[in-house]
Amino acid sequence: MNSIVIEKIEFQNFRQYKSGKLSFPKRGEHMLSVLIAQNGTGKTTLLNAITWCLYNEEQHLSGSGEALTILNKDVLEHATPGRVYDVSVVLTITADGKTIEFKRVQSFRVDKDEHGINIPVQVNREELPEFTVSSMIQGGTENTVVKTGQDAEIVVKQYFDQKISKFYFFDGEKLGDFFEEERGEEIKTSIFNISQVNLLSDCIHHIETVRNETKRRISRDCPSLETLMSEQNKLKEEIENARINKKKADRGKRELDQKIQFYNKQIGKLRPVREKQNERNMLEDSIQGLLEEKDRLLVERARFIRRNLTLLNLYPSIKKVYNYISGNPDKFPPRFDIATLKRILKDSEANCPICNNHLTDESRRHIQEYIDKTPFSSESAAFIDKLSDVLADLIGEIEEFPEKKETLENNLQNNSSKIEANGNRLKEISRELKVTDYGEENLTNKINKLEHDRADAKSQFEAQAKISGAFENTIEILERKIEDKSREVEEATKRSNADRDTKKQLDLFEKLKSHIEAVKDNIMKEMKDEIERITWECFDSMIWKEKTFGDIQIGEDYKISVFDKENREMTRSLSATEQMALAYAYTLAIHEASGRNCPLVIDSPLGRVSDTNREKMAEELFKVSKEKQIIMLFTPDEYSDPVREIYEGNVLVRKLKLSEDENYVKGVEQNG
Amino acid sequence: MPISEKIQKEINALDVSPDEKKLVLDLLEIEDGSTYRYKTDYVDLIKKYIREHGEDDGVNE
Repeated sequence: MNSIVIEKIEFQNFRQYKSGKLSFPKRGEHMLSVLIAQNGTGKTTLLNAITWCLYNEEQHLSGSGEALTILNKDVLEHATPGRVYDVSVVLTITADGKTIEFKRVQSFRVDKDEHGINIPVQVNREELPEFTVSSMIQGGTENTVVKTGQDAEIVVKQYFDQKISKFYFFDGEKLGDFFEEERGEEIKTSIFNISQVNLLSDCIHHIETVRNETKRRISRDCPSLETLMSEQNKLKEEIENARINKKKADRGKRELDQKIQFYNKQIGKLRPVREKQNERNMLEDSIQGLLEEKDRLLVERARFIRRNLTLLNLYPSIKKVYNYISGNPDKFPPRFDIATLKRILKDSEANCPICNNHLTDESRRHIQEYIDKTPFSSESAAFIDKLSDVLADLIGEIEEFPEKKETLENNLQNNSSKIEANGNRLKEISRELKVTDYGEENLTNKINKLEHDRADAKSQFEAQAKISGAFENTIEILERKIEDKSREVEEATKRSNADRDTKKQLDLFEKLKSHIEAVKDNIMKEMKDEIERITWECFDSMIWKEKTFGDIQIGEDYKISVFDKENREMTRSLSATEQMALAYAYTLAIHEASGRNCPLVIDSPLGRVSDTNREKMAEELFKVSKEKQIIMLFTPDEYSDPVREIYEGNVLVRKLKLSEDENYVKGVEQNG
Repeated sequence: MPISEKIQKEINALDVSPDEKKLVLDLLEIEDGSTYRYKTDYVDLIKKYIREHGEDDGVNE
């Protein structure tokens, strides 16, 4: 396939390029040129210069750019009022052994406004800028063919069809453009045009027209045929309307599906925010509870220590008294109540108060002897007994002190750890929420509204799907009816009084139509398969997740879909890097399928590619540049060291800078 | 633009006589040339074909 190569772009008074040229000579075996410029220095303006030259349209303008004139600021400031200045861009390419020059010129007369400032006024406002295409056989200036108007536009279409211009002049920052629903239809139209499918369709349509006109002529002498043809036409009108309505419903479905995806994305983003807000509330409550518990534990520990401090001081004395009491039982009164014993003796029927057995005479005698011998009061005995118990309890309490103290300290330590952990998580969540926090009520309202809108869109989608389905049925029924009617028309034609040659013509046209239809079907299938195959091969070589992606499919509407190894669609969940790789792969496949090896001019070629993948993609594009011309417009940051290592020495690298007064770009070559 | 190699290949693959293949190609060339005269050019081409192939044109009577 012959390459189409941009040899140079020449500017005259065009925006910040002022006057000069950029040429793109081949260096070594690679057709790769690198331009490095800060944002705002003219990277995107270069894309705009090309599209303005070819299509009279600056396709990559930002809002601020639209307001500015294309006449260079420096030229305008120093212009002589009343004089006319030309702005032009000339794009020179080589292709098919020819040098082709695309040139667009727009003239401005400079006037002064009411403040005395120079302003540009377009000359011949109602006319389009002058556009010419000159082509000459390479190596000579003889036989130069100059085309203007529609003829010039046809040459543009032949080399850079505007419908797929974004696949030649590629803005890496606007990846979304590659996956727009409507884009598929444009690609399909352009590819059908390039691959001459449209020529086949036109031919089929024209055969049909010629046949119908012939049949109409015959039907003038055959009323039954005329009626049948009129019925056939009516059915054709009906099916055409049904197709238009189905298309409308399908477009509605696509738009609603996009809306649903948008709502899903928004809700998907907000739900984790709500979950985090809930977690934050729980953490705040939990920290509050833990702080209260901490206060309680501190009070408990203070009380415990205060009490035990006294006991610890008294411990030696307490222990000493307790040991004395428990070690000298004989020195203390027995532990019986004398009054009770006397009462028992008086009552001859009383039982023993300890074992409840009957008291024998001998038992009674022993009790009497005991009473006689005991000189101490029973109250003292009881007191000492009680004192001994109290001292034992105190000793027990003091001896448990270390263990209890440790438990209390551990509780406090646990409490502090929990407060610290919850506090850290709270800080983390608060930091995350800082960016997306809507306030709880607002967030809930927002989610509710999104969920409501999504449900609404879903029900509208279902309604559109029903309408589309109904039209599909209608189309099927009408197709059958048209088929039947066509047969009837054919039969009636044969029965008509038409001459033999006319009937032969009709039959031959019908045969030719079916041959061309077969060719068209095969070409369309081949094109789609080829684009699908090349896209997958390029994507697979650029993407380094070997176990994730399984397949790429191009739909009938030329919409691209990516599937994982389990055949689940994942087009919408691709990362920015993967989207970039897919856009490159699809671009290269379309170039290949178009049969024209067009150049690729890329603004921010690696801007959206993450650091680790940048090198790999730079390497892949470097390989592609052996077969295809690539002009890359980098920012200095994007042109990182690993990228520089790949390109420098092998390709032409130029740096563009704005002049001190920011009126023109330095780094372009001088014309002439 | 000349008729692409892909289309020519598909036409050659059709299960029809070489003359009929040529007729298809001629028709496409007329289409590619200019479209506003197609009606006359189409009919002229077909008539010529029928004339040249006489009774042996394979067209249903």
